[in-house]
Amino acid sequence: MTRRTGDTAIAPHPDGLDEEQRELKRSVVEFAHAELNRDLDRRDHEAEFSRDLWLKCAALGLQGLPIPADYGGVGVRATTIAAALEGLGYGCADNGLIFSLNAQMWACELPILHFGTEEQKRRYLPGLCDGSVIGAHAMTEPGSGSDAYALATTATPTDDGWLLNGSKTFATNAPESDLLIVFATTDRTLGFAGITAFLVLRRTAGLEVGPPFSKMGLRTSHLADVFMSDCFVPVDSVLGSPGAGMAIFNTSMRWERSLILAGAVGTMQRQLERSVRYGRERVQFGQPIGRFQAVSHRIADMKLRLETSHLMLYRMATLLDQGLATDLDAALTKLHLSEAFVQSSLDALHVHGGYGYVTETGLERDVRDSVAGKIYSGTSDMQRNVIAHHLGL
Amino acid sequence: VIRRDTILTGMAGTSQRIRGFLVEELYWPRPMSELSDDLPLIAEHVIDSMGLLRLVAWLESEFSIDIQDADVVPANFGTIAAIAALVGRIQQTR
Repeated sequence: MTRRTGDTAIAPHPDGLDEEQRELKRSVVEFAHAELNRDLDRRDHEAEFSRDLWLKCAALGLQGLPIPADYGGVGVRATTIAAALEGLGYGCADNGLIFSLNAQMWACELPILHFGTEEQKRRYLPGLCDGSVIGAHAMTEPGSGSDAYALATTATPTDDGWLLNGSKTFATNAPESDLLIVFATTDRTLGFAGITAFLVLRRTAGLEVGPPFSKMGLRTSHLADVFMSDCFVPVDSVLGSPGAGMAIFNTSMRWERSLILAGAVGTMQRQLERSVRYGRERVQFGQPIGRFQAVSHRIADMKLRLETSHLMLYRMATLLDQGLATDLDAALTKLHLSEAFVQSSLDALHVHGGYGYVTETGLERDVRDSVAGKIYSGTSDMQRNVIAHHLGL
Repeated sequence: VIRRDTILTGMAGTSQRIRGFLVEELYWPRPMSELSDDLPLIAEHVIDSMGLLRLVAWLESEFSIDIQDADVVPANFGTIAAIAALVGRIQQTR
């Protein structure tokens, strides 16, 4: 039996990756260390989105990971995407940037790839991949959050297109966006079956984006309201077909819930490494604090959460690659990873005591950022609802 | 109760199995005889958004088919007849 102790025992084992995926992950970690963490405390404090970092990520190919090369992307399978994003989370402490990248990939690029016409794919995907276009997803409304399909935004047909009227909220990337996927109802009496998705350019007359919300975490990623007043979009703005909005939204959510927290697995490994190191170095009462079970057991639990999260992530990615992923799998994955990330972030903070609470160690930021994972893409409660529903309850 | 091992064939058999799922799993509250092939399932609130996800998962398992996301639209899930037709089309293209 191979013995794994000390530093060699920290990383999840086995990683399940082939050599090419391992190399990609390593290169993303190196890129993130070198490029993405500069000036983060200030950017976080000032809630600054960095287009410069966005373009650097695009130059590496991150935004194009799920998009085939024909449309300007990299076109790798889900396990490879998971490896790249895990490396990003390990090397990049800017969770807001990681969130914005994921929001675009899963809630804007993927719907276009799966439901768009050939013309729509060729018009929008290359720009989304090379960073010149930023995409947003406008589903949530002031009156519909967890009850996602209770939309009040309407789409009224005209002779040559549609008129959109209504307001959206919590639209990630909206303040910087060039393109939005807007969900609207064409017939409120049909509920979820009356929803249609539209590709709307930010510059479209009648569409306005509000200022970014000030928020607890993920501060380098911007959320905003979107307002539409007689916002005309042409017929070819429909994504998929009229009434396909729910299918588009569900597809998007399945991928998003599956992979949006891949970065958190990398971050949890970084938190574990730091906590083990601190537990060995920090001396109190004449011995390293890691000798006290109050500390070591906390760190042991972090290790357990890292391993289970890693297993869940790559199980999910494998199911996606095999075409066997279900909404149940995605809900299980998202629920476990998001809750593990919050607890691991809190544990890392507590291991470091007062030093964990101050900004310069970056640990308090992880706590603030991680909480969002239990809310976005469907709250933990909603994931439990999905799981229970699939169990026939 | 419609069981998986019930010997049913063709579209009628498919419709019966779907009807059984709606009664057993989505709790159709009225007499089964009212659950006709052309009853508008969405407008009558037989299927809600969560129920649709379960129905799709069940269809894939029950009929050993793969339903593409693009096929999960009202036109294919509006009635039992439409669902059975979708299942039939997918089975024919295998």
